[in-house]
Amino acid sequence: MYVNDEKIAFEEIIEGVREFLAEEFEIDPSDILPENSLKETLDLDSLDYVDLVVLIEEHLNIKLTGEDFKGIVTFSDFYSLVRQKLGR
Amino acid sequence: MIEKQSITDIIPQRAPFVMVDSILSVAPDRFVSTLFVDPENTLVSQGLFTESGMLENVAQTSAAGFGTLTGEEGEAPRRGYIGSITRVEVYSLPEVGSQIRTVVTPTHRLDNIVMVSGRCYLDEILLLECEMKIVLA
Repeated sequence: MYVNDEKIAFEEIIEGVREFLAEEFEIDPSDILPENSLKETLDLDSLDYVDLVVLIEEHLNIKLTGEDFKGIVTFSDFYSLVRQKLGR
Repeated sequence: MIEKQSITDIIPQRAPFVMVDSILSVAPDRFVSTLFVDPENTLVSQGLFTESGMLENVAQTSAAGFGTLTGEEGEAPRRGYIGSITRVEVYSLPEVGSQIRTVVTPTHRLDNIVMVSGRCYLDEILLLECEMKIVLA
C-alpha cells in the first residue's frame, strides 16, 4: 500500500485497514463497522494492542503510542486517528 | 559487562534457573549476552541445550537489558516478564560445552509492553530466532 500516493482515497486506505485487521485478528470483515468497539470487536488485550501498533506501522508507516489510544473507542475513532496521523 | 552475580540484581530468576552468564552490551536498540551451556544446566537434555532453554535465555537477556537501561536512568530497575512468544524458528540446538551469544533487539513499545526480536548464535551460526512481548513491571 503506497500511502504517499495522493491518488489513493482515504476510504481505500480504511478498506485496506479493515482487511488486514480482519485477517490478523481472525474475524469477519463485516463485523468491522465504524460504530463498533475496536477493543471488543477485535477482542484486544493489552498485548494485542502491540500487535495492532506493529500492523499499522508495517502497512501504513505510522507510529502509534499508548497516548494515541486514549479516547479511542470505536473503529470510527480509530480511523480518525489514522487520518490525523496520515495528515489527511 | 555485567557478570552473573550482578544479573540477579535485575532479573527475578535464581539458580539453577539463571540462563545468562554475562551481558556484553546494553544499548537502547540492542542487548547482547552470553551463556556457557553447562552439562548441569536444568534445561539441557540429551547433551543439548533445549529450545526452552534458548527462549528463557532470550527472555532473561531482554529483562536484564531493560533492567540495566532503567537503572542507568536513575530509576529502580524494572523487571521484565514474558507476555507472549511468537514466530519461533529453531534451526539447531547447541551442545553442552558450547557458548551461545544472544542478541535482543527491541522493535516496538506500547507503554510498559515491549516487543523484541531475539536471536541465539553459536559463533556466527543462527540457532534460534523469535519474537517476544516483554511486560515491564
